[in-house]
Amino acid sequence: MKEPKTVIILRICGIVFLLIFVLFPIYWLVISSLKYPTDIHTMHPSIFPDRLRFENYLEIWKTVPLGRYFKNSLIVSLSSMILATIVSTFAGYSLSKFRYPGRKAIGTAFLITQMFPGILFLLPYYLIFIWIKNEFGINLVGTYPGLIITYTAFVAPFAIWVMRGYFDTVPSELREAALIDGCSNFRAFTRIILPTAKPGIVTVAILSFMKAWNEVLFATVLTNNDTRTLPLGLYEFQTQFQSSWHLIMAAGVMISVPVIIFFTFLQKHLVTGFTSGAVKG
Amino acid sequence: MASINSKSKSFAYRMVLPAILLSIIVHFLPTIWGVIISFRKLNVYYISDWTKAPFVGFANYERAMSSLGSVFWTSLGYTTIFVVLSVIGCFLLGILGAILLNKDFKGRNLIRGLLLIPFILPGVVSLTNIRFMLLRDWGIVNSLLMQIGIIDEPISWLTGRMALFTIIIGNIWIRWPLWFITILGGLQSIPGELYEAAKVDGATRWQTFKKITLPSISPVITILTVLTALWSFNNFNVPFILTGGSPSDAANILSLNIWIRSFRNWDFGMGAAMSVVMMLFMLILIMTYLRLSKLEEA
Repeated sequence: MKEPKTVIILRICGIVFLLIFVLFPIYWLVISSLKYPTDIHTMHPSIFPDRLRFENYLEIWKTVPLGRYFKNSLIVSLSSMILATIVSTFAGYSLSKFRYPGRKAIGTAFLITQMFPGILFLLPYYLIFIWIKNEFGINLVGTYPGLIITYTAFVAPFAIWVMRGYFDTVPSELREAALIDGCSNFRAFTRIILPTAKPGIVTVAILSFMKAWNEVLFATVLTNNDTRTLPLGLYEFQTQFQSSWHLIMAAGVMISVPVIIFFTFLQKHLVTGFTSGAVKG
Repeated sequence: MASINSKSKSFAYRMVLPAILLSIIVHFLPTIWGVIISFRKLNVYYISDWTKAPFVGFANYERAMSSLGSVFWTSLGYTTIFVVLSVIGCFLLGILGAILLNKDFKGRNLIRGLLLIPFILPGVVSLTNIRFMLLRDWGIVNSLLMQIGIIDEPISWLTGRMALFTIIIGNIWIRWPLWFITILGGLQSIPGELYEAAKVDGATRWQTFKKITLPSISPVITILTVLTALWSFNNFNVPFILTGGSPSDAANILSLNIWIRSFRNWDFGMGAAMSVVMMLFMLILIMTYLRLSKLEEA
């Protein structure tokens, strides 16, 4: 199918516009992270600077304990990723492939959670943590498990929705055939169904990793000096070095590197996961 | 068969149980608790033993909506503008990107990957960067606009009325790729024969778009609209980071407003009351939207 010339030109213009809209800010982030302080704090910062300062990337580790925050974020994000992926794959499968009383209500309930303002339940949530500590002696505030449970629950509703949509596209006959062959339900799930759901699982894994890697509001309340996560570190950076944008930008790039790497490897899966699952609505 | 069925049923319940428990502990209980707090005078004196905070009926709600809280209504108004314009912006950019990339050409996968970067970049980083670009004196945006000659004086993007515009742009920038990728998925699941048939019948581009493309992506659009609206409504990061935590009235949208009321003024009761009103407002908005979009389909 050949397109008329005007359509091709319009298409190119549109793509260029979107690329600039997305890539210029990213370029600006990276290039600013390599600038000298005097080149950055000026009325007309140059778009292509004459000199680059790689020391920025060494300095950021000295001023704020970024290394520790990195470790914290990795532990919390990876753990909630694993937990959230398991929980939502299970729930998505259940909601997609079985018919039972309450199924619809459960699905709706997960959607409703998205309506609760985080700001409304932040304080009660904190108070519950305190209550658990007083009653059972289990301390959750400022600990990894406290954060991991929180982020797992945060990402679960959306992840369940993606997984459910994905499982909808897997033919039910697969499971039925396995059951007739004498497989247990769990075995049919792990042996037959799961391998077909890889793109959906990867999508959900990335989503949950990112959620935990990025969250700010609850982290402000649920972390302490030892367990502070990266996004807060960046914020702390900003308040401590208000006019050191070259360092703030360098820290920003450092924080982004893990997710970018993660994503580049898994991009193909992510796209198929979204396209085949989410379309169902 | 009956035994298999009941076995399957209990299996299905067990599979969904962990997610239900999590949601109850993290979402439902604290939210109910929050509603209870909205009827109590919970401030800094009672925070150590909050069960002793006196019950005050609707006093918090009255305060929120009356003179003291005239801020509340302004804030609700700005929040609504913020949400609606964000959704519209995401929709336009998302559908534009999806249509442009729906055709196979060289380098398509690369461009698709590049356009998805805002989606994976940590929100804090994106927003800090946008703030940096829009700084009044050191920002590149003002610098470029002045060099081109569009403006003579630097614009204060982050304060005053402009801040509302800025947080909308920031919100769109971090959210539109989800629209783009999901709509693209929707477009690619439309069988090519449909388009060919339309062509044979002599349909124009616009007709094809209206009769084939739009209907097949409308379920996706509905769910994206609902989620984006909810996420924007509840959003805290965007105004908090872009305004540096001290917003002008126009950027003081509800979540941030409530956070300031609760955690800076230590007036948790009123903060909770404001959140409850916000939640109800959101509920009405979404219900209306869902009803309307169902009507349209019928």
